[in-house]
Amino acid sequence: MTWQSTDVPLQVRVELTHGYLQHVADEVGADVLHVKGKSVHPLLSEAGDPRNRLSVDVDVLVRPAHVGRLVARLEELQWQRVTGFAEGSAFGHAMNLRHHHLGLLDLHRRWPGFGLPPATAFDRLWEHRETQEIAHVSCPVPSLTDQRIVLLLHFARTGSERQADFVTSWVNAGPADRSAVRRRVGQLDAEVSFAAAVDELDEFRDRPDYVLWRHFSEGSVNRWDEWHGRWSAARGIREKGAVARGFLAVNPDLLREKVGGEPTRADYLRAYADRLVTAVGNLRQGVRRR
Amino acid sequence: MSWRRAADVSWCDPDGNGMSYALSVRGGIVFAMTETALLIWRAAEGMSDATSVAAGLAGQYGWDQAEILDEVTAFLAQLVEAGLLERSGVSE
Repeated sequence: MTWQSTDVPLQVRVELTHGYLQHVADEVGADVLHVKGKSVHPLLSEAGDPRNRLSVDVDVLVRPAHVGRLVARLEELQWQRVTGFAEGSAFGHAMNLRHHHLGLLDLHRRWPGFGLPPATAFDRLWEHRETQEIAHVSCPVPSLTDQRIVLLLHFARTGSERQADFVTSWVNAGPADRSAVRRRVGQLDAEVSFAAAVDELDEFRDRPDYVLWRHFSEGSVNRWDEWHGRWSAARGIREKGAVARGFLAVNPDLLREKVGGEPTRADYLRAYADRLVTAVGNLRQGVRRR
Repeated sequence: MSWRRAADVSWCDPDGNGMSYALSVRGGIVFAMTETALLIWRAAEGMSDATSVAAGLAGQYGWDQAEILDEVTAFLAQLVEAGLLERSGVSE
């Protein structure tokens, strides 16, 4: 009758952390939708079993107004921020937290690709939510149609990395399911990002976010293309200002990770110099391609 | 006062290796349990002390109650410490 607490497989930790996270959300009254990985509908899983999906982290979408209280509680429970929202990605959509024992958590305050304000988009998903039992805990998840869209937008954003998601969410979908997805895409103002996923992006050349979605869906690593896309997609002077600041600024979270501690002034100077060199190189590449 | 599984626990028993895993928010550490350990955790639900847990297991699985009592007692204490088991507020 012995028991152990070592050598816990990663997939077990991920599964348990979904349940753990839901308990924490319930405790602080935060609305959370579990997305991707272990939480996907069996129809969208390879071989029809969510356990076949390999995940390295837990992904959740949190009602924007509830993010603060959830993060505060997680920090009390020894979760540490790896990257903040603003610095994490072109979309400023997620923060990463790490627990020394449980692993990584991707906490999303919005899902890239929905044109609606984040709170409205969350409301729309929440209204149609279902539940999925993960680690013997009832976890709210988007409806099957919404899950297809969530996976497809992620597929588009990651340069078609997860081909399996495209196949299960779209290729294998019947005509009725595809029609439901297209209707729902309209309700979520996700036409451009969805088009990037299903190779219809050229129909949206006149849209401000076209360049950005082309960049991501092509899997381009050229940072200049990304910044060009971000600039084009930004609406209004405030958003464009934020893009400009992001272009010039070094991400302190990522730098901290890179140097393995609190960066020194010299670390920052080196990082700015590297950024400048990379930007010039990307710009040259971009010009040559045009 | 009886034991109950803590409300903030998630647990799973993936196929294949005969092990189960449990995690409480309060404990914050994943515990791997053998099949026997899982039986004890389950048997403790609604019981008031280690003796009644051991008696229940002995009756169900034909084990010697006296022989397993010490181990059951120690294990229940570990479960409580890990946040996987707690006392309910209702006296029996």
